[in-house]
Amino acid sequence: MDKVMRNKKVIIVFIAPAMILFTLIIPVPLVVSMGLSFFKWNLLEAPQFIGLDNFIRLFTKDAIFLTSVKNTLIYILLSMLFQLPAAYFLAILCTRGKRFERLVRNVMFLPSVVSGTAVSLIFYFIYHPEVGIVNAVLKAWGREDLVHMWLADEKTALLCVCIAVAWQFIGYHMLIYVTGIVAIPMDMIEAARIDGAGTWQLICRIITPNMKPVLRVSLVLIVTSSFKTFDAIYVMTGGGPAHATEVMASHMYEKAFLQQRYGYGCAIGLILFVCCLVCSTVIQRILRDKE
Amino acid sequence: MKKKFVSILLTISMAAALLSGCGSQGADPGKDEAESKESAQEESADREAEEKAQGRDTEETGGAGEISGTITFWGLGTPDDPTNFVYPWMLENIKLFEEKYPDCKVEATWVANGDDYLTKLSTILASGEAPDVFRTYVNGRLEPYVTAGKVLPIDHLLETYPETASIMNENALASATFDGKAYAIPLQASSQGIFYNKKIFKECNVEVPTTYEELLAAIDTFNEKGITPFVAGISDPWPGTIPYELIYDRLNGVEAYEEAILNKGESFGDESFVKAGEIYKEMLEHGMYNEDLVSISDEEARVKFSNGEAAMKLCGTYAVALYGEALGEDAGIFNFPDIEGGKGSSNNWILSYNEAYAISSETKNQAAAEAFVAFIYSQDRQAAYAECGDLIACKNVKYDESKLSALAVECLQYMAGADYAILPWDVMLGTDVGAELNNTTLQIIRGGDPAKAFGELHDYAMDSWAQ
Amino acid sequence: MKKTTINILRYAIFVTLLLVILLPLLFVLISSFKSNDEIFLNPWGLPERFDPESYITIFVTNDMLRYLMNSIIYATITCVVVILASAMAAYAITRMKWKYSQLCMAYFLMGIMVPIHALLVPLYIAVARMGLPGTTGLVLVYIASAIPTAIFILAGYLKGVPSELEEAAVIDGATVGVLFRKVILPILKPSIATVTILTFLGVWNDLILGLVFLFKDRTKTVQLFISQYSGANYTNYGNMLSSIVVAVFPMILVYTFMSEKLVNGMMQGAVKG
Repeated sequence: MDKVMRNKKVIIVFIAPAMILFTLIIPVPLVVSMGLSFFKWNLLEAPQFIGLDNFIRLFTKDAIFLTSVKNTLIYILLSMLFQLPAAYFLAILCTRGKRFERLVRNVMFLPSVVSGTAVSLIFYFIYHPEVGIVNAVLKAWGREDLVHMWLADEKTALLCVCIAVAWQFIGYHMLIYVTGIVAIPMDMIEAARIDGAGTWQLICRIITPNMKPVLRVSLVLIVTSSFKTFDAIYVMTGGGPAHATEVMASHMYEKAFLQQRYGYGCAIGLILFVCCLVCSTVIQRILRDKE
Repeated sequence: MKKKFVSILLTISMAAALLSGCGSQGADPGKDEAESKESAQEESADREAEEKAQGRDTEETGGAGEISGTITFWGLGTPDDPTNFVYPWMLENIKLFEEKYPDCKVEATWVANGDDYLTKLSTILASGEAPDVFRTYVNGRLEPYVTAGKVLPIDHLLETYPETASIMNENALASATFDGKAYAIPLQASSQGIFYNKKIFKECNVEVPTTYEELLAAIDTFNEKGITPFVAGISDPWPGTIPYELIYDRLNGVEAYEEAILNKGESFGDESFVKAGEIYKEMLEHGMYNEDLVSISDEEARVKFSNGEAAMKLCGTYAVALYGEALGEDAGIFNFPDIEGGKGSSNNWILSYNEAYAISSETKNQAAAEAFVAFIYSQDRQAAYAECGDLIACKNVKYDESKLSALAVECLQYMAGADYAILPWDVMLGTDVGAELNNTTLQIIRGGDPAKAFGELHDYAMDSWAQ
Repeated sequence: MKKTTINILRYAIFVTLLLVILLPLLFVLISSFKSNDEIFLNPWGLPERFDPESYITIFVTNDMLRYLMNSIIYATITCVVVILASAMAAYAITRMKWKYSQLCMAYFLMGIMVPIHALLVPLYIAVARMGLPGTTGLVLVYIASAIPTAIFILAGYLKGVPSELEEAAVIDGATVGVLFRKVILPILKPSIATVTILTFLGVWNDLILGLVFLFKDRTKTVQLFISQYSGANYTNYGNMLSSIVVAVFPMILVYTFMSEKLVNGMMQGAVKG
């Protein structure tokens, strides 16, 4: 076994296709884009080297950037909070070989298939101050005082977007968890059952420890994708009202393309990249295998 | 270890090669600014000489039959959009152009909305393979294209095609002119006015207000009757700034506007800005808008106005066709009235020229590209566009006014008689400060203090312009 | 007695979930039959009449089928290449013994963290310099950007699976190729199903890359087709929502087909037990 697994040629053959395809396309533009963050470039004239100016400006002058960092962090926290526990719970609930489970799994995944535009339109009407469902329910409940312009209020806008995103993506994470649970050998579970373990103990002692690699995957995925979140924000609020939902990626797009300051945008991109890198390394460390 | 080092080196050198390729005309990013500017100027001088030589060629050999080959065209538009007249009109242009010049083919690429268009255009221009003819911008937003030498001046085109030259409107060309040369031709003239519902005005016994006081009184009357005076949707906040710009003009007049906005000479902390903000605040406190304006979109507000749910809507003339169709004879337009003691005039209109088309300096088929642009700016094609119901930037174009709605004709008359054209502020201030201006008026609409709001804008603008 | 309560609770949760998820989707379906004004004036009610006009427009006048096919082709090619390349790489990284396996994993992982908008311009220039036509370039970019996530998921899954089966196969004299085909791929099946779904979804819902890389109308993706209905000043909601509804179906097919594989994986696990 060991001999087979140490054969250099075999390793190269196995790793090469992915390595070549990936290396050809991603790293070079990545390095270029990192390099451009030290330039001033409007995408038309020649780039002009300005050293660390973009970064200095970002941290000392650009109040919107600082807001966007804060909002991104809130967004990541809320997304994890809203999506992961629910997805985990549902994944366990839906892998017990009982009736209707497949139906629920399929339906849960549906929203992630629908494009962001449709989701933003759905929630535009759900949160709509006049005809929206949320306000209608509040009125029926007699809590007129809570009636709100949900997406137009700086205090609630980000929260509302996070709820919409959770609605869309719980099924996505559920799918990843289901794969992990399915991989746990049945005999382990049966054995625990025979030993008299209840459902709760089963989850804590058998399922969760075995799910560690999968949990790690899903944590890294949700953190990185939340750092980079753009579509949901862009179509639902455009970063508004008054930058209350501005996140790093939307600020980057705004600067790089709409205001034609590509170098500045790349600087934001570089910071975003480093943040992702640090966070996922930390997650990997915390959930390291006990080998 | 050695291998790794080599691969890293390779990556870096590739990256460097790419980086230098990003610049226009292959200018070295390491060079200092003055040098690269100089070289760009030299290059553009070279190009001019070349153009002149080419120009002589075309004139000598002349004639429609000589123009051949394929050109690429990029436009902003989409089918199934009844408010977009450019798309169907341009498709017809291409068809007729290819009939007129059988050896020519136009390959069109369409992008549906402005942000996407800007993203795609910037990317392709950065890579140095621009389309031959493309929709571009005017004023400050066109300027970087000109400085970078991405677009050709149109003087050669106008020399070659006198018919097109004869319908050019100097005011419109002025918005695309830099250092005495025009680089693009605007298609649309677009204005902002107060559209009103004549039926509602009549039912409430309100006359078209001619003074600010009358406008306030009208707002009160409508509110008493339970009718929304102005409907607006500022989930994207720019429509909230338009009334402010008009108030500023009525109060402070044209000179103040030119000094502050065109020359960027006055600071936003100035008294004049705060005073205009206070008038706006007064109107807001009288309840000029629908309550939910901050959470609905401009599009939704337009639907509400077309359905007769509000007395007035401050809106761009791009909605003329929509209102003309929905409200028919009941739709009218007037401009923001005079303010007593103010230096401005109710005959100053916010007026801008948009949808400009330019020829890329990288075009390999200048003759065909010029022929195409000249063709879309021919007497017939401009008449066809005007008859769609949009306002055109060209002048001296004869067309059938009976094909337009009453509202469109009314608008045209006002535009023709305008004393002064105010450019929308955000166009002049640049996307960055322009966007913050919109956030400033949003703050006032939400009950913020004008002095504080403009103080913040002042700081933002000073910082942004200093850069 | 307790069991019934738990069961009732289960079904109560199921029903609530179905309602929460399905009602908003139903809204999209119903709205696709409405006119533009009606959507704003009466968003939650039934349409005045069920007018299939927008569906006829998108298929007959605007030829949506072509763009669906384009997206299906791009997504299928991407999925096949990504699965093969990533499964091999994930296998090499988790099971084979070499010095740089962790470094290699970290290198791929970098790809997950790249914010795509900051990369667009250099990415486009790099692909254009290779002299590839827009569609090939686009598919290559789709593949390259899907590989990191795929390797990440597959490797994560493979780590959780005990390697007894493989050892048994090696003792039986299987070569690495056979081992990969006969043992690893079947083991990875549920995870491959997940990756296929996610990769397909990524390509299916991409707008920005398609926007930048494609020029000719006939090569457009389905998302570009949908985006043409939201114009600068006007959104044609009827057509937009109808095409969104239609665009969901191929994705549902892929999902159902692939989640079948997931279930099969589960059954095998059960048999083993």
